[in-house]
Amino acid sequence: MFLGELYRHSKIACIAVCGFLLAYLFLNIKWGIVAAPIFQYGMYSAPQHLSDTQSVYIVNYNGRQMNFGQLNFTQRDIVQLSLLYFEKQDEVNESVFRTMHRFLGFTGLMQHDKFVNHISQQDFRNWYVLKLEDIMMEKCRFVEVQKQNFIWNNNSLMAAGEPAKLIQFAPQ
Amino acid sequence: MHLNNDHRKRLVAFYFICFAVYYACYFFNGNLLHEFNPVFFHNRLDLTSNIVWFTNIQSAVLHNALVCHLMDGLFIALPFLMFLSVYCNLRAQYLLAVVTSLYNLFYAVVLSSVSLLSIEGFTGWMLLPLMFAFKGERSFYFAMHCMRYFFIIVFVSAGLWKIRAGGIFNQEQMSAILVQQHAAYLVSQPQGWFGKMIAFLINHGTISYTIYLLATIGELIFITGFFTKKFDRYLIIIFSLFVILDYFLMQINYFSWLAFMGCFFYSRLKCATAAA
Repeated sequence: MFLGELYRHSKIACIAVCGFLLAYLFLNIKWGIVAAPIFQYGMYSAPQHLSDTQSVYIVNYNGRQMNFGQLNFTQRDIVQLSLLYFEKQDEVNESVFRTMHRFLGFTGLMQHDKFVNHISQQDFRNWYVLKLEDIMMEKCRFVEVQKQNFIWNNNSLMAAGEPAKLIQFAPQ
Repeated sequence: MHLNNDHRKRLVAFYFICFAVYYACYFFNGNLLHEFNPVFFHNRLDLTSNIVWFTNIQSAVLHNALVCHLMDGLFIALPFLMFLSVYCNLRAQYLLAVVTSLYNLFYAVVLSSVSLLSIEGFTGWMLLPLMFAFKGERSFYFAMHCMRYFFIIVFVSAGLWKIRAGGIFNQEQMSAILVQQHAAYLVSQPQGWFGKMIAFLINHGTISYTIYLLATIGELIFITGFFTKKFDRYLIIIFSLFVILDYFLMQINYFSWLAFMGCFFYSRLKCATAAA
């Protein structure tokens, strides 16, 4: 057996490997916090349903609706995910800070200030517009972003409810 | 045949080629720190990340372009130096391997927190350099096999998660995943060939569920790697198919994990001293 051979070769290496394995098992069974490079590989494991609502950010750029089908994966992620992450960052960072403080608070190094962002809506919009200009290769005159929910219905995604206007921005 | 220093050199070359290709992908997609030019970070429930935040590196990355350039430079320079030192058999190789591993962990924590990349994709870059941190052919043999077993554990656990969380018992799982994964695309361009293909799979739940089931079986089948090395070449093929199909169907890039396949390729070579 491999671990037996490893033990005969080096006891320290064997103990280190066993420790790593136990940590992997513990963090995966416990289901919550991880410790890089040990992760939980449970992506796409939780049941999902066709009736689930999907939110999509609809971006109107210089008067035209952006066609996500013409963007590569990275560009699509920048347009969609950066909005989603920014929308959630305040709440997520605060909640992670509270949870992690229970484990690392004893060090005295967890100052709240370091664990939250100090960014205004305007800072983010300026950055987002620069990214859109890179993607569209066209100077931005006007941007409007709406968050629209969709539901899969028979053969296509159908809009569900009214869109929420997130950004309307005309850079100077 | 025994696993020897030549194989070690080939493996470090394979690691570096995979890494360099991936680095080029990051570069051309504008994913490196200095290109992405981040303005906010998002924390996660990860002990290591939160320990890294003690240093306040996140603030330096968000406000200082020079720090971003320096970090990006080191991210390619260290693996290159490690490759050179192993290839030329320099004494610095062991230290460089450890430093590269730790730095890649640090870089992955930072980059994945300020960008849209997922940290799991960096696992190979963090762990594989450790193979080259040990002196002697026998130690290298054990280090390489540890990496091989680690990969098997990761891949099998991904399959087990699908059972534990219940996705595998849900008939419309893959259809729903495809809707979620491609929602923006389907809203914009439902009439393109890719949109039509995805819509077809969504509407034909049995076909899409079969794909999900096959992917899960592909993950679980790696359990054979715990008991025998006989099928490792087949496992390489299965994993390569998994990565290609994931890229095509889900538009997820798992190519970084291919770097682990070097450990499977040489797994049947014997340990130097044990056979002597």
